[in-house]
Amino acid sequence: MRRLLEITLGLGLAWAAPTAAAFVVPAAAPPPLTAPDLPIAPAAPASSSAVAAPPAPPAEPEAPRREAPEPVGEAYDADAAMPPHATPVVSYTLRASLDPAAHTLHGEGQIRWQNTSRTPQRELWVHLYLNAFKNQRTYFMRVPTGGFRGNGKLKDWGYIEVKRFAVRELDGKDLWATADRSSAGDPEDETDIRVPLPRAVDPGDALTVDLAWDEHLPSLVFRTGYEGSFYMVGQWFPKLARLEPDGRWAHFPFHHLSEFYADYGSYDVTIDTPESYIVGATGHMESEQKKGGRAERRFTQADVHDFSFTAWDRFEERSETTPDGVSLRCLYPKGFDRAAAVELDTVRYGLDYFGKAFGRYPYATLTVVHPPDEASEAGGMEYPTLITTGGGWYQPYTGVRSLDIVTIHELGHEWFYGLVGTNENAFPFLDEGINSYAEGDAMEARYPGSSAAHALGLSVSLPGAYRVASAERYRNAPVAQPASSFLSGGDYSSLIYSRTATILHTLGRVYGEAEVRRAIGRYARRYRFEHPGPEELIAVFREVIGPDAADALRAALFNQASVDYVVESISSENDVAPAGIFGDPAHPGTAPAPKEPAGYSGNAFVRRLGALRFPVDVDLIGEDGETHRVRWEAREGAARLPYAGKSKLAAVVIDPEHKVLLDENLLNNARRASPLSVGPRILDRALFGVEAALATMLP
Amino acid sequence: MSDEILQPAPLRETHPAAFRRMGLVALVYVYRLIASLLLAAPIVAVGSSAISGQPRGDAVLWDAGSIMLFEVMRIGGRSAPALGLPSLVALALVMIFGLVMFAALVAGLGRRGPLPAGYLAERAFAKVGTLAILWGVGQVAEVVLGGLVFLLGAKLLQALDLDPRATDTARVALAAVALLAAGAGGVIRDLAMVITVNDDARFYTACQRALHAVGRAPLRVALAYAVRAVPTAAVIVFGAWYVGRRGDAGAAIPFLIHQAAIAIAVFLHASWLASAMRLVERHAPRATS
Repeated sequence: MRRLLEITLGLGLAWAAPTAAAFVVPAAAPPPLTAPDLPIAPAAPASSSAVAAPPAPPAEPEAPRREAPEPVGEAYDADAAMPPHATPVVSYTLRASLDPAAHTLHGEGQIRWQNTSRTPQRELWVHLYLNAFKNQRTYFMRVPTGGFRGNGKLKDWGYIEVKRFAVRELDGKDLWATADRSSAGDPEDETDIRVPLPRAVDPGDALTVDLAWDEHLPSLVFRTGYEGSFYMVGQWFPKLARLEPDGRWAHFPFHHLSEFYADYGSYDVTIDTPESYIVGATGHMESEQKKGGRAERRFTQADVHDFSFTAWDRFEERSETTPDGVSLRCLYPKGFDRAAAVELDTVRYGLDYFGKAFGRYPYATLTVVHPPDEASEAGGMEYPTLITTGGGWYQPYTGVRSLDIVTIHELGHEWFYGLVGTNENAFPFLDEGINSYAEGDAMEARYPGSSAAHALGLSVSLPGAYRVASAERYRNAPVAQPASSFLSGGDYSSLIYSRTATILHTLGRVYGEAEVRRAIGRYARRYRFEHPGPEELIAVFREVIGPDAADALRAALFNQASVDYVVESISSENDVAPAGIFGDPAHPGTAPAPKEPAGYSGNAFVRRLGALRFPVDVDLIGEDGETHRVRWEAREGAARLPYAGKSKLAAVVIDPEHKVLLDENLLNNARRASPLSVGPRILDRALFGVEAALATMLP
Repeated sequence: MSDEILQPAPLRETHPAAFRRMGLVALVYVYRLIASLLLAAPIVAVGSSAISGQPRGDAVLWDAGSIMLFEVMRIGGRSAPALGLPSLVALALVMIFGLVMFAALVAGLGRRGPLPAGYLAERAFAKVGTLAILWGVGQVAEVVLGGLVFLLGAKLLQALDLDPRATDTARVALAAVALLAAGAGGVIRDLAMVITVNDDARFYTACQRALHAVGRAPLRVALAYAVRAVPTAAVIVFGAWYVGRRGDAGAAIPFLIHQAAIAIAVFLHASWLASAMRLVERHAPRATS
């Protein structure tokens, strides 16, 4: 008995000690931060258990039925057909003065806006997204959609107060006094403000708004704000919502999962900071003036729909110019030189790859910002001609390509969202999903089979990783829905990023990578500087690849469609003369002669489950190792594929090259006549792993 | 069980050495192999079942892209919760019998001449309770020592305000120092466990003599441990590296390399225990208890 107690006590101590260490030690040395917004691993789902249903997102006016898109045509497979510039709808000339001591910014300037719709407008809609961080009752803060990103606690609130909003063409009257005090239908939110106009603005007419505002930047918990002396300033000015051609305003309050949507125009922004601060911003720096310990830097950029900037007094900097004349600038923390080199190299590669695939990058500059670790929430984000990356200094040495991935992902956004200005709130998959596919495509071209990682003897591909990240999630919600309709950040990231990428990679593998790239390239060139929707994308797929691909794309995006190929059974037997009575039973004849040369005949019973349909290869493998590859169009839900060979049918594999990444379950794609009982490699590796662990644990 | 020795004990070995008891070392290796098979069986079963229909077998798991590997992990991982409790029970049994094997090994190393099976069995079970407590307390000591060093060092690093690269590099160095501190706890524990079996000592006496031995010859003890621990780590890392570097390196050659690495590790561990006996005898003989 005593011995038993001693053994129990000793075991308990031995187990408790390492467990306690596992909790205590990481608290003392928090693990290095990882790059945010990496769409591969979806964030943990929201932990809302008994939480009241979130408020319904304010309803956007019902969209009139869109006509079927016009055919695009082969001309848009080349850059020559692309428009050289955007039609400017709204342009901003602003001045921003940053006070780092108080974390405030004073802004003033002008907005020049033109009514490019077909209907007179009696109101403007202004997005004041910084007010999302004003208190705990804003729409952004109270909707319990956790996960994805931005899950830190605010240490300092953020808000924006418009001081002046005077329209010159309307007698110079300051209209802010008559603007709504809160978002439509939500008195607790101030991010989506209607400004009534005293008279209608006819189609084609323009307005000039004289603007002034003050803002307090929040602590950095969701892309924008400050951490120490580091500033990432996005969605920082009163920004007009986009006016659709039919006269509807695409306005929406700031939701935790939603991003942005605005009209194209030009930006002329002067940023005033203490002289010690290095500033990176959208566009090209036209001038810099230093005076009295402050520096004023003027940045301009045309043909964009947003402007952001960063400022920090501890940036290191690297610059270079690509062969195409794009000026690259990388701002990064001290000690991250190797990371900066990787990012610039990746950007050079990406500009070339995406330029060839989706149309030349039209801007003269690109700024890459690698935030410091403590401000990692600012990373993994895109703005026109400015991207933020992130991740530890050591990542280039690990074999995991997260730094390359986040860089090329954010660069890809220059096309999908930047040049093709889709509505990120209504259809987030159009930028994040297509971009995730583009990122995987570019990385696979550079690192075939190991685009996500090459470490510890394993090669991991990004398309494969996306497949795993989105497996089974398709049952939770459709991909093609507004950001605010997702109830879980995990569903949002899995479906919008990973599922969309997996759909497109599947189409590429089945119908041809070059074909899918050509389809997306045609779509990107045709709708450069425009605002297409899902129908435009599907129409181009139909045009380039065909109706099967387009129908599969629609079903997968809108209808939560899935597919699972299964080998149900396999059988074969010797080609011998058949038994039985042949001819007149009273005078039976001889049996038909067996096939010559004699061999084996059989079949593989295969199924296609789910609404999606892709043609697949099926390998029928004989015992002698000979493989017969047949094509199954899979139009029907089940089939018996015939086999004839010199030996018995030993195994069948559907889709041996894993082209259909959407296949729900790859383990049932293969069947052997004699199943394996033990995998020798699995046995060896598992055994060694346990032995090595016991060597450290056992006395 | 009575502490009386049921059979005449073999004579005490004056120069314990692992190579003198290769049969016993082999027995310990076989035990580790069987124990590992038992613990790895669920993973092997789940993984093998998942690829049982693949014509190339488990070679598909190492194809470029790792698509099948992740699929097996995703679908096979669903059975993980169900395997939790049985695996824990198996681990507990392995640990208990590990103590028995340890005691048998030490008992055999400490005697010369033929080893009657009855003697070994009696010695193996006689002190298993004390060994269990020593082992548990030793684990706690390792965690406390290593944890203290790491926590104190981490506090110091915070105050220095280094850049991220310098901070991380310092943390790695700090972890290495913490590991050394934890290792010191493990060394003292091993010495105490050897004393318990070899000299039939109780918990307090064994700890006292172990601390006395370390106190009198810290460098000798550290060196004796290090010249065996470092090669042990090296062969295990080599075993992992060899397969890692080769990707799908097949099954036969990696198996041989892996098992050779483990066998060497078992031998080096036995060598350390024999060395521990010599150190204790020289620097903290029984008269000091």
